Amino acid sequence: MSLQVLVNGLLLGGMLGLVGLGFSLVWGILNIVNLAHSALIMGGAYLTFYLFDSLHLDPFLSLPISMAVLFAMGYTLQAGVINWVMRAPLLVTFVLTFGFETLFTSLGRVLFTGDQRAVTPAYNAAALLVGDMVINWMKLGAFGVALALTAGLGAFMRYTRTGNAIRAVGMDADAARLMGVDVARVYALTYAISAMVAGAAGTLLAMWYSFTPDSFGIYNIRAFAVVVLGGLGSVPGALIGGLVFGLLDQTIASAVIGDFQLGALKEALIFLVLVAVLVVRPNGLLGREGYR
Amino acid sequence: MNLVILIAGLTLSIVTAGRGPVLWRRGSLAALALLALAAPLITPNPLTLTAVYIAGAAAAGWNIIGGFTGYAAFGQAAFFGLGGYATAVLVARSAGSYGVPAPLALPVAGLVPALIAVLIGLVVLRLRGHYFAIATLGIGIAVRELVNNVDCVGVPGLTKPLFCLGAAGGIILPPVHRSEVAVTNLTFYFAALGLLAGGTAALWLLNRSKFGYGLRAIRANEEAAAVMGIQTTRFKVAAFAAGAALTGFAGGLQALINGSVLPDQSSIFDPYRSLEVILICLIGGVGTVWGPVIGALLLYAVQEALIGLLGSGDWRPVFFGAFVILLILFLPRGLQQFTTGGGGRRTWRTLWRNLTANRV
Repeated sequence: MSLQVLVNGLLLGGMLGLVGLGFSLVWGILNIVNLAHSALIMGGAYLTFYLFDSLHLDPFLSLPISMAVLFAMGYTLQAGVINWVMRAPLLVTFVLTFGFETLFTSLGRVLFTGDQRAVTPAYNAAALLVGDMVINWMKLGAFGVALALTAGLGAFMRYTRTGNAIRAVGMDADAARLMGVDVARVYALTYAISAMVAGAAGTLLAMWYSFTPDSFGIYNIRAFAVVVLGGLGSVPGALIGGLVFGLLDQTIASAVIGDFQLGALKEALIFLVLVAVLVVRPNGLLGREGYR
Repeated sequence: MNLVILIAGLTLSIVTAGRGPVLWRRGSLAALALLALAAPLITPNPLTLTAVYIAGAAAAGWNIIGGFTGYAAFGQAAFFGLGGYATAVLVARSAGSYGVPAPLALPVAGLVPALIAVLIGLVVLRLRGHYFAIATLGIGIAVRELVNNVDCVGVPGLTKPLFCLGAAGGIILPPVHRSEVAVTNLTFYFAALGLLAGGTAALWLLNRSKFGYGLRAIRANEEAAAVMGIQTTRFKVAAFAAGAALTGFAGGLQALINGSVLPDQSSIFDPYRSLEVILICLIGGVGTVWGPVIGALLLYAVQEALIGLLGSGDWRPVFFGAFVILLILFLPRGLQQFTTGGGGRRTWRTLWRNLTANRV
């Protein structure tokens, strides 16, 4: 494995960790497999694109805006709709979020059209050269933001009263209610935080790749993978899951055995690894139950 | 016209599945059979109805593992695709395929997904709840990617390959008949109808068999079921394989209708299938005999109505998403709930009670 592959894998991994973070939080605390996650990421990406396209706002500066907008959207969605089915079985909430995914993505297709979009600031191609490695500054910046957000959220969950309330609800909602926690509000807040992180991921991904409304469905699958590798509902787990996934992805993509490009079988191999991890270590590579 | 048939069929199947007087239920079952047999005479395009039956049969397969056994499998599309590819390998006449006549190929094609389901099931059925859900989702993707990247597989010592999946090129199937298109479409219609009827009959038998009781015991409480002497692993793997076979048959028929199997996402391995089968069972009633039929009829009726109202433009999926959301909020246990309730005011009250039942 060359050093370049390692760096590429880590950079990609940080982003995927951020993608998985919100997904993992909602799944771990709310017990919802949130298929609408990809649509929330899409929201962040298009917000960034339009701010850049019309106001020439630097994508890093639009980060707080898309986080705030998505936070508000997430809070409304959870408090207004999803809270009504919180005690229904897994299948029901799963299909509900599928409904939202379909609704938002197809609405995106109508509003944003299917044109290929990209956010390309002037420093787009600037790269740091270390030895014979090429590291894109923008990707490095996005990686830094992803790390900072993960660390911030981890600290929030561990050290603030609200964060502790969220963790308590994730462990036992009924007990938390008896301790005076407003469970419905905590659910809404958790979903809002997850949407906020998705919004940030959307902004960063908009710089990373060009996109259409249909480019984001894949991130649900990526988020699944991150959760499996890192463990459900765990903030540091999501980062580690993302980094492992990124390394795995880049390593397999660049590997050649004989004259066979292993990259063709990338998705299949990654998911075979995932299933193996699930069977051997169902609580993720860290082996702890995260915040559950 | 298709919409009228779908709605009539939906009404009749709800009555058939309901708890009304026996005479009503038998009568509407007979009427339903008559409608299904006569439908190709009435409608200009029986392929829409054929698609409904295929979706219903695939959903009936999911219902065995996801409904009766309570293991929410999110990768049923893999078995649909495997059934399609198995049929294609048997029927096609290119290198590495066998040129078997389609009616003979289809029954064998169900066995391939079932065998693979046994292998997969022995590993993943040790997992439960969420973990089972993600594992099946992952396997659904992995199977598709593997199949789409394999060209020819041979046995050492043999000059001819054992089978060829065509990798990125897929497999093109020869036409089923040499006769007119209308006759071919009619053949497909009755094949799909037979498959759905057979699948529903299988669920009916399962519902009253010892095997079916065992599966429902596992759903209710797996430890208790094991204590009562049910071989839970064996039962679960058998249910997984049976479901895979039924879904595989549906996939095989779909491959014949498409005339090809391609690695393209919208072809036989369309990941939306995994969701569609769940959606259908949720609409009709998870773990019930008539659930897949009712669900498929309603889902496709709504889609037909949306096509009629909005054309096939970009707005259609928007309304489809909204429909799914409303359905889940107001009827999370599916349409079957109505068969026990009365009309008018009580219905509204049922909807309201459904909405508020699971609120935090």
